[in-house]
Amino acid sequence: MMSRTIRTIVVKRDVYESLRIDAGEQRKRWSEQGTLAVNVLSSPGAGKTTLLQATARRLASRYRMAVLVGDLETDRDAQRLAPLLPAVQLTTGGACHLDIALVRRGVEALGNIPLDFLFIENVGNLVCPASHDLGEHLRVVLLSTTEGDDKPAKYPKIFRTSQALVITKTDLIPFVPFDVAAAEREARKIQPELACFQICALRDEGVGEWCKYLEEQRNRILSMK
Amino acid sequence: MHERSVALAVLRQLDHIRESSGVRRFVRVTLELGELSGVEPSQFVEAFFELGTQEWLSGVELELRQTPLSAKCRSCGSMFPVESYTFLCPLCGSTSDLIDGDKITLVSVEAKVDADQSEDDNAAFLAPLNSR
Repeated sequence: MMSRTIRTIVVKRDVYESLRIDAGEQRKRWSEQGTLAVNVLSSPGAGKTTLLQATARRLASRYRMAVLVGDLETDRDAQRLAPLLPAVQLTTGGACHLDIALVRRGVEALGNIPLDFLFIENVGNLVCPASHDLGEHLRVVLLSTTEGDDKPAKYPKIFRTSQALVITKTDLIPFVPFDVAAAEREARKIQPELACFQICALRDEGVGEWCKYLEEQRNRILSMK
Repeated sequence: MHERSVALAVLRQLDHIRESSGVRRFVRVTLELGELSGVEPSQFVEAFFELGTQEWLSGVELELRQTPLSAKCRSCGSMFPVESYTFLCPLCGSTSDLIDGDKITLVSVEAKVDADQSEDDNAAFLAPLNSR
């Protein structure tokens, strides 16, 4: 009979390494196709779908755009967006975030059409989506004025890993105790390079500046090709 | 909330190591959890033992080390521990790059192996993933 011995095996490997590699390959593919991929994150009800509707109204006539919409259940958000741009609902069946495999299925469901912008509306959640690279070029976190300006300090990872912060529902500022400057200051302690926007998507306020930023980001991808 | 999916990823890695390096049973598994890894240690432990019911894991000890956040200033180059998630350099106030503390790392395992497995086989299981 073979004898047994105890051995130490040094591994030193990032548990998410293979997912990171997959996400990096997807990002490269989108870059080569000239598609800017935008991962949109926020808590539930902060206005991701409304922001994307306002964005599509501005840009859809000039650019080829599509959206993947993540939710635990229902295809309601895809139905809201479908009149404006091709939309595929990704239903996670209870999972708290989208992952790269689900995003790839969404891209296939879109039919691999050539795109200038692909938006990925993540599941409403300020925690788990922060840990999952979907191959996006740009990660944007929304913070609505009704949520409170203390959220960056409470959920640092999502603000640390984002490149842009959109403060939404600015029309409600007179009615809620939300300090825009304090929210931006807190967020920039965590991610000093954050680009900050203030938007009321329902009234189309601030949307132009946001869209200009998106176009600049896409040009940056194209210039790196 | 996603500690289960992290636990599954760790279990998959362990299974891969087991298959490729003659492991009969794991005795100890050591992981580093970064402060900003998004993993809550107690929930991770719960998920790991709930999902890791395979015979080759029976009696395994799980050692978790927490790695603090550290960053390097882009202007003055100083290295500093990140307190209260403030990434501005404490010396000059500039922006910084994260050095450590955001990853989940499988550091090492202790395992019962067949005695004829030589030490040279140590890194054999790493080849398939590294060559991607």
